[in-house]
Amino acid sequence: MSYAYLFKYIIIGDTGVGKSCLLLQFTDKRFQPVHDLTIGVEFGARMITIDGKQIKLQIWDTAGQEAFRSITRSYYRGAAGALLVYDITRRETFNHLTTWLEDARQHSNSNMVIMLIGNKSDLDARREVKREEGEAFAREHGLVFMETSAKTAANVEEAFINTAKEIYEKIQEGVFDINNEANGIKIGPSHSPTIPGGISGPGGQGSAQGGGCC
Amino acid sequence: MDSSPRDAVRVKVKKCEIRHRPEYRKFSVDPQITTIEVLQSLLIKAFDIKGEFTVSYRAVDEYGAEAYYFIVSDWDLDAAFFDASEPYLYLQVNLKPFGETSECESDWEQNIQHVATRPELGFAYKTPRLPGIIMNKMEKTLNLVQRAFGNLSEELNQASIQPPREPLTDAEFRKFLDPIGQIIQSKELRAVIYFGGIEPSLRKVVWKHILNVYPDGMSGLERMDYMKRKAQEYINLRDAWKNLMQNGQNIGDLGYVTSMVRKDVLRTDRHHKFYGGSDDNQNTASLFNILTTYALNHPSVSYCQGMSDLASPLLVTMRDEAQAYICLCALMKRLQENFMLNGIAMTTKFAHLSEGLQYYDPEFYAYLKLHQADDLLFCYRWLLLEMKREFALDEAMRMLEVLWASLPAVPPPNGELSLVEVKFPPSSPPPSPNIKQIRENAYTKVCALRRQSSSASVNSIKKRNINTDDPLTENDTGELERSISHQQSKPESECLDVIKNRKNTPPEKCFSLDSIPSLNPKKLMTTLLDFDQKLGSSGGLDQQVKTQASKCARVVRNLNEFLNFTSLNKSRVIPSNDSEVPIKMSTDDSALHNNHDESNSPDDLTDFLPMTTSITRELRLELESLDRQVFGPSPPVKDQQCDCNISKQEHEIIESEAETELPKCSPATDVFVWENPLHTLQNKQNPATPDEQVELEYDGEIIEDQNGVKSVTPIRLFKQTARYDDVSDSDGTDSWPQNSAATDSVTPPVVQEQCEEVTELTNLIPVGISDDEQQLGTDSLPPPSEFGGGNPFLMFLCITLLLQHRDYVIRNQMDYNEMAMHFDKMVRRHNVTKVLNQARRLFASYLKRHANKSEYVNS
Repeated sequence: MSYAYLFKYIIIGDTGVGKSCLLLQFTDKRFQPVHDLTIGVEFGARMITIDGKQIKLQIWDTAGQEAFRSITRSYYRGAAGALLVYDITRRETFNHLTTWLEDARQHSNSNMVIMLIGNKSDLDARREVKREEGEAFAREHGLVFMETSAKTAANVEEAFINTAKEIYEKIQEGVFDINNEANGIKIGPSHSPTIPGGISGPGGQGSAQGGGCC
Repeated sequence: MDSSPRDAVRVKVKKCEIRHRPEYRKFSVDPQITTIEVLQSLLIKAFDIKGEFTVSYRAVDEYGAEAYYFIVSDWDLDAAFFDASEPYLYLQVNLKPFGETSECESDWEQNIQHVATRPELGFAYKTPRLPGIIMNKMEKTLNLVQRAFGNLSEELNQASIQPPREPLTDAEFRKFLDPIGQIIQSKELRAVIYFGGIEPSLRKVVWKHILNVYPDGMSGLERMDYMKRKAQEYINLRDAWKNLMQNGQNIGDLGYVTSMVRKDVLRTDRHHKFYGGSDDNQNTASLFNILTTYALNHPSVSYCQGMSDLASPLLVTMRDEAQAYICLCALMKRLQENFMLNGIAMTTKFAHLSEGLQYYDPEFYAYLKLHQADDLLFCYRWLLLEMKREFALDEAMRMLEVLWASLPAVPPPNGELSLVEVKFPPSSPPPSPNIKQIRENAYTKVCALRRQSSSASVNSIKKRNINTDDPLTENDTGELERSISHQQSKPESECLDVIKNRKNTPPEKCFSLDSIPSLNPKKLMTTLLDFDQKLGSSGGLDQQVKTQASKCARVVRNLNEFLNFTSLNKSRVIPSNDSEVPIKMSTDDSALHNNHDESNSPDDLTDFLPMTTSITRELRLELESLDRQVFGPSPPVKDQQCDCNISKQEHEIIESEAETELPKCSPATDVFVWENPLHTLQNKQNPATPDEQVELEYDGEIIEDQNGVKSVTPIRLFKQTARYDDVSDSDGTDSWPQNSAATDSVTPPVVQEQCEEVTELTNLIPVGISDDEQQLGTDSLPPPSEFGGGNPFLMFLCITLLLQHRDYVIRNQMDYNEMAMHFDKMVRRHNVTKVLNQARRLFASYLKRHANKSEYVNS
């Protein structure tokens, strides 16, 4: 499958905030209320299109529990984007954002784009963290902010795609060194997304189409 | 599973493609000769497919739900034929690889077009028309290699889907009990379970034995009393925190633990009927109680994600909260180190897995390396949960009992299995308005202690360990030297200090245990190989017992003894290998016991030992930019070692609590099990050097399928795995005629045949004279007591999964992510029998090599 760029994402945040569900909603367009708890890290991928270019998002969904942080940290390296997720119905997951952020900043490359996500927006009745608080936190730390619902899919596409857009802009601005894979960005096997690369031959076009999401 | 071969399977296929209407076809295939390649070409023909596609089959899973499973290998296809082909095998073809299979609606019956097929001609379709699927000769070869791996010799399919032995029955189990109900042949019992598992109805009884719940030598009555007492102890422990909760004191750690555990039990095995239904399922509540009690009473471990997966099968089997708790305590004695925040035990396991894979499949390892996947992080779950989640729960239970049975018996020391580390709530002033404060303080103290001792232990490591390898490099033996020098030039890594300090310290300081009289390392090796022998040899159980007793294998019940032992062993035989450091460190941890750091600040961790993998990865990336050579491992570094370090962990395994006991020699029955009593073998093969390992040998092999179609195929022999390949074609110096002769006696006639196979496999070890010590040590994997952190069989399970999927991975040129996704999708879908069979074969040949080695050293 050919792509112009590959971006590597990492999803972080406290346990139970819905990281795996966000990933599943984005990659598979479905919601699975009972999801295995993530051990270590799990993986997903999807193609998106930005500016007419095929971009492959390679997403690493990490376990939220502290015990896994020693392994989680090794994933920050080489991520171009991070979704930092909290649960709007659990205040403590919001309170822990600072720790997560420090951790992410400390272990990632400095240009990593971080999107703050308040998940479970469908559970407005049980809300413990106001939208404004999320916005304020994001402003204060220079993050992009969005409330999502992995259940209803609200804003899920946008969260992943907007993050990609920002990374893409940074590439255009020359902020990222795209030749250094440690930045979480890889140039596709074929520079031009219209020429199918690799072995797929006639399949190339089909798969590029199939992968498109928007 | 329907094991009777059928002539034809009727297949209905639906092709799904985004923005197209589904198309349907039906045809029949002969399951005996239809490989995945044949199937793919049929499908291409049937739908005139031009692009890449995936195939999945519909199955009704154990929970009654309909699910689609990808067919990515021949064994998937076999599984589909066996499991889901009545009356039709429903296939779904998706033109987008790994697309959303569920998106097509299941309107199966309409519009099916019949496709006339002659499966025999399937190969005719294998034309260059397969754009997405590489169908060159090499691919076929790989496929056949995989088959050869999965199916030993001519018993192409049958062998791999049959366990070597039937599960242990009640009647058989009774043979292992004397008139008062004492277990009389615990090793043989383990051997029987290792080969065949346990009948599900008997698990409740036997699991407690193989999980080391009981002290040695208990009679049936004593065991009942013991369990009664232990169960009451659990009830008290549980009620302690339950009362606090009911009094509204669900705060502090209690609050933290309960909220964490609750969240996780609600997503643990919920699709299994035992935990199914609504969230107030009583079993889920029991699981919650068990985990909460454990966490609160084991502050150095507390609760970590993954424990619910470990506890779940125990509860399913015990059907009793207290008994499951007791089993969990026994299990966690061995596994708690996996959950330590410093990640050291896990690092060791990764390192060993990596070593093992390099050894058994250097080509695939090179592939992984090329894709920067040689950190094997996608195997994290395998290692942490000991593969529990890779199989459907009922199958996982079979795998677990086999795995537990592969381990040496380690009865709880001091005649008692401990159910608490620090009792909760810690005994402190009586409840008062300040109770919250007090409790928190108490717990905080424990945590603080943990943190301190943890850093203390790290410091002590820094000071005491000279051991060479640091965890950073262990993933990559070949590049050890380079890595080390690299590290030295890379001061930003926090590990450097550790490394340097270690290097500067003389070995003697590691532990001052060298003065203990040494033991003969050879006595250590009481192996499963032994089990093989026993199973296959001797006229009966009684005789075995005698033999066993007369062996008088040495019991290592003491740390010092053990350390000395392995240190001797190590210094004489085994080259310093990368595993030592992490082992040693985890030892330090475990020795301190309370040192486990559960700091809330993530930064604490980086102070000592960042996870190996991230650093290795980085180092490696840089190294590779310097040195593009993929296949050129540099010679292993083996001059530095601190032998005494190694064994602490073993000690941990053997006896985690009796660290102060004096050395003693006990009867063979409670021995550390890695011993092969038949010391007559010698390894004929000269162990290859790592460099040699990379080379592949090709050998012609005739593959005959069940239709009698023969094809001569170059089969690659992974050099030196030697293994059953060699064994089966027998370097037939069968040095143990007595064993083969006696094969029949132990196992029931029904399973005789399989048993013979097993015995044969393990008996037909090539006999020869080993070369000098150096060579002996050069290429070898760590010995059984160390490999996989003391669980070598787990390593072989992991290696088996990798081997079984390597073809698919390579064929599809999967990158890191795709590979990881592939294995994620295989969760609960691996075939337990095939995996166990292959893992047992690998393990048997590995044990043999090690038995030979130890024999050599001692002769």
